Amino acid sequence: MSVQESSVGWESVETLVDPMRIGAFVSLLGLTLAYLQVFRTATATVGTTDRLLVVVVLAGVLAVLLAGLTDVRTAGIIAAVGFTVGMGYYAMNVAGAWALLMSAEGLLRNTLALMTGYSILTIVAVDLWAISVAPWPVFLSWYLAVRARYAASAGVGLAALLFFVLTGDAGTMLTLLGVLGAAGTVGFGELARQGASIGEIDLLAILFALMLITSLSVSVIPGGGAAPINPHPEGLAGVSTEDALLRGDGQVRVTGQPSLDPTVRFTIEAEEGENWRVDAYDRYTGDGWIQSGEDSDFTGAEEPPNAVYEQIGVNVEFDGVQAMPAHWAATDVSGVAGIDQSPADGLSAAAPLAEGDAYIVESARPDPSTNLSAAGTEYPSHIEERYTQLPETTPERVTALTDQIVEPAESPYEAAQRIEHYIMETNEYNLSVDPPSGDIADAQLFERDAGYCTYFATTMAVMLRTQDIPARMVTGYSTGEAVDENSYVVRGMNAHAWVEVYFPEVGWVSFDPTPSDAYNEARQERLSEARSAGAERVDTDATDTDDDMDLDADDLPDIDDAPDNATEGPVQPGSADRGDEFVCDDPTVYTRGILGEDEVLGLCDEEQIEQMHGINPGGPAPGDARDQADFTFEGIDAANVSDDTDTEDEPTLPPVEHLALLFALIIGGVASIRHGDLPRRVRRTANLRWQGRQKTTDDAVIRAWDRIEGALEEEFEARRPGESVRGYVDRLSTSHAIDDRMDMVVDAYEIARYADESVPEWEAATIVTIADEHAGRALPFGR
Amino acid sequence: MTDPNSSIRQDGASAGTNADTELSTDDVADLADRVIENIETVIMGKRRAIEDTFTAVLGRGHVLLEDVPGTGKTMLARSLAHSFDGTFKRVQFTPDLLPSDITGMNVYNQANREFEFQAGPVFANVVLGDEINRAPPKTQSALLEAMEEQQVTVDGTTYPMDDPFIVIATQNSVEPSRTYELPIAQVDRFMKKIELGYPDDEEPDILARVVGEHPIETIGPVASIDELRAARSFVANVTVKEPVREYAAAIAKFTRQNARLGVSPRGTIALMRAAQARAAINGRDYVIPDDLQYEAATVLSHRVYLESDPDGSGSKSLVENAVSSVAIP
Repeated sequence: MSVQESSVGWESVETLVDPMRIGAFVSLLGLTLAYLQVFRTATATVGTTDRLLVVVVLAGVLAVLLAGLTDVRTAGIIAAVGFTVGMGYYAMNVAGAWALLMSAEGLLRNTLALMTGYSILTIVAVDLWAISVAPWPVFLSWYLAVRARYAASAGVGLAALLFFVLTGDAGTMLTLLGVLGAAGTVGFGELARQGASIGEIDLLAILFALMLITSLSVSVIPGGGAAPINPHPEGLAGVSTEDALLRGDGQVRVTGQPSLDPTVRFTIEAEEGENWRVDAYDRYTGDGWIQSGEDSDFTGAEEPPNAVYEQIGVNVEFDGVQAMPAHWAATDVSGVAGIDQSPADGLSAAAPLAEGDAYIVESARPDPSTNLSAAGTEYPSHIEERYTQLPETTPERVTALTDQIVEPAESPYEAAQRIEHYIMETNEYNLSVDPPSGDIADAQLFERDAGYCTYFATTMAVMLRTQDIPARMVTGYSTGEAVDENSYVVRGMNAHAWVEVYFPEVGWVSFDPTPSDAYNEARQERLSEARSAGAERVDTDATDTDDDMDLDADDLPDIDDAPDNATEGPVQPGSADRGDEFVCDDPTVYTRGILGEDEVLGLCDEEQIEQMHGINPGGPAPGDARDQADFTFEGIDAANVSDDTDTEDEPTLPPVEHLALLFALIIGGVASIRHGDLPRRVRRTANLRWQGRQKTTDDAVIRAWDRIEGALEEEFEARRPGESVRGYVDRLSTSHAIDDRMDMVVDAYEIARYADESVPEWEAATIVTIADEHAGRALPFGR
Repeated sequence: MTDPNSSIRQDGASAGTNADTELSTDDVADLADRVIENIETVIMGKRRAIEDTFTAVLGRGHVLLEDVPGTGKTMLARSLAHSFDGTFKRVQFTPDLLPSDITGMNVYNQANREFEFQAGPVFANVVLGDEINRAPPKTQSALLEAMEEQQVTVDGTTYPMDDPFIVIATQNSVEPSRTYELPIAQVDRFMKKIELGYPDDEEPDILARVVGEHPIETIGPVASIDELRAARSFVANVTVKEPVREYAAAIAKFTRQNARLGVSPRGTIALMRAAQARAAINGRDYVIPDDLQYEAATVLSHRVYLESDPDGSGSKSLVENAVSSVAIP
């Protein structure tokens, strides 16, 4: 095996497979993986990714096969037809989507809505959607790449990536990968097309280095929303948290330490004080919640069987509110027009409400007398599919722990109660926690023992789902301050999150796992603080200016029978019987449509929590559940804690928008470099201005002439092929006013180049000076 | 008397310039100016042709003047010859001219009973071969041997030519019958073929001049033959650097690639020598590409043959092409 043999071998490989083409394909692979990762993440959130993998690989194989058989036009048609068929397949398999697709306008509006920052996770049955959509950009881009249409290929891939950048699903690293891949595809492809040697890769290498360096050093544009990476794990405190949260309509993100807004939002007239529901979320992403599906005009929610009808009156005390508290399931609203209904039956005003607006909601509520333990597990399939989804990445130990917690339970209802109590007993209430880096439920169960309502509600919902019990996270307001019989003042800091569990033939029943002990002090302190500071809008006419928070206790017993029924009855349909017991300030809950900056904050009411303890004994013995849970928890905790947890630091890269903008600029630059004559101009400009150091005066004069000629060429015209220096200068001097020292320059040049003698030093210096003057006059980058 | 050369050389020396003296660049340029101006007193408005002719003389070449009759071919040759104090012979070529009429012959001397060589008209510093295409090839070749070899062989004895030995031949271009077109090999031996052409606007002046005594009668030498010799030696040493040599070769190569018969290596050498002379006339001791470009037309055109080119214009434009398109190194 000699060196020669090996070099021969390499050459033969090189002729068979162009390294430039390989480079282009590898780059395209990077781009493809970048946007496929978004699809994969989406499908992993709601299920498994196997089917996606299969269809994508099939699409790639199809692309390569068809590249040799069909022309570009046909391939484009195939992709378009495939996409349409895929969307049709998706539509036929998703209830409601068919009607939507029937209307082109609806489809367009939907897509545009997605591209304004809604994650694709808001799409109903996103796994099906991914399978229907993902193969076609893969097919088209690989087809084009195999056909050596690299720019178009990268364009298709970039379009797919751009869509996900706009929906906020493509994170910084993915975007970086994708754009580098696109640039590499075009760059390598162009080199391959021009038959460039492997040595010219250095151009690309320089380019990539430039992209990376600048991407890490430039920061221009505001950061983006729903990226899985949280670039500010600790920085989102106070108002900025809400800003970030408010941006994501239809989403709940679990973020950092909140501040509390004591400003009054509503005064609610109700027979009993409860959590005031605003909306619910079905899709858990591991770090937050997303509501899939589209809002529609309010037509009244589907009524649960055996409903009990109940009305509440809501007086809006704050301008700009859109959220409309209402119990599930609202069937009728009077007093306000133009109401949207979310897929989870949440109400919001299409136009912001103003102070003084008021409405009355009638809700069909599950009959509190129903025996939930007997509800069984015959869930409707659409409920089960939608509300038992968990991300693929949910750690197994969450299921394992939950299994142990609910083991003694004989019904989903009991399981829910056990989980609720387990969470309550093992956690302290604390607003000052930072979001975990991994799965929220997992972190809350295994890594920490403090948190607030969002964490607790999330954890409970996830645990229920591990048991295949349909559950969803609900956002809204806690009861608030009872100011009068049947009248409650709800402040921004009452924002709260809890859980709804589905029971067949009953409907959604509320559970609130937020523990209550000492944390309402924070709320009280905040309220007192605000009052003593004279803050506006903290009180209504009805509320006291001193810290009398005991009204609830007075009120509750007087409210009508429902709580009593619930307390005494065999079942406790969640919030219906708990009344206002759980009041949790929740900074991280975003309730859709609330515009007040501090709106999302809330805090648990001390007295309400006390109330909770008073009520709960009616249910399955919380003490038992708690003890059992504690025991179990300790065992599992000891066994499992540290191994599975991801605690790696997230990279701190600039936001997606920075990179996208930067890369757009760089790609433009690349294109202009490849397609313009910039390199030539740069070279010439450098050539013009740089005299350098020569060994002899002759060389200096010759170099000076080169520069002068360059300048003359730019100023007038180029020397013709067979034209001598003298002939060139003579010709120019007849038609243009050229430097009259040119004769001297030419003489010196001829001596330097053609004579035995050398140009004297002084003359050479003069010539170089003349060259400097001419180069200085020349335009920076020529004409 | 049998050797006229010696006396001429003495005359040249007596003209005031030492033959061994090396001339400076300025001296050569000055000499050229004097000679050209002197000739211009006879031939009006033909400075370019005069310069071309004189550069051939300085470049140690021979000149073929070709044009219609009456354009001053002979007058140019004569006035050039008269501008030096060297010997001048004229041979009128006719169809019956014999080679020995040019070279001379051995004649039996009754007195010493020996054959003696009677030198022919070719033994002179400047030989004018008038209407050379009217003599048969055999006769033409006698002259051509002298041109190329700088010697003449008669009956086995070789006689060197004078130094300098300059042949200026003329040829009518409008007499197709009873003429013997010079063979290609012979044309190649002329450094230049020059066409005088009709006068442009200066014909009235020419008429005015010939009223009374023709200027040719009064023209006298303005330089010694020694000076000419020294100038020719200077020209031979004019610097031709690598890029210029490459350029000359590139031009020759271009003609070979684009014609049936391109420029011979002898032609390339001639081009370089002419360029050397041109440089010296312009007061330089180094050749620049412009010199080559200037000389290419007269030096190369008659050495290039195209497939179909009855009037020679194709050859000329090919040479022009070479000059305008071959990149200068």
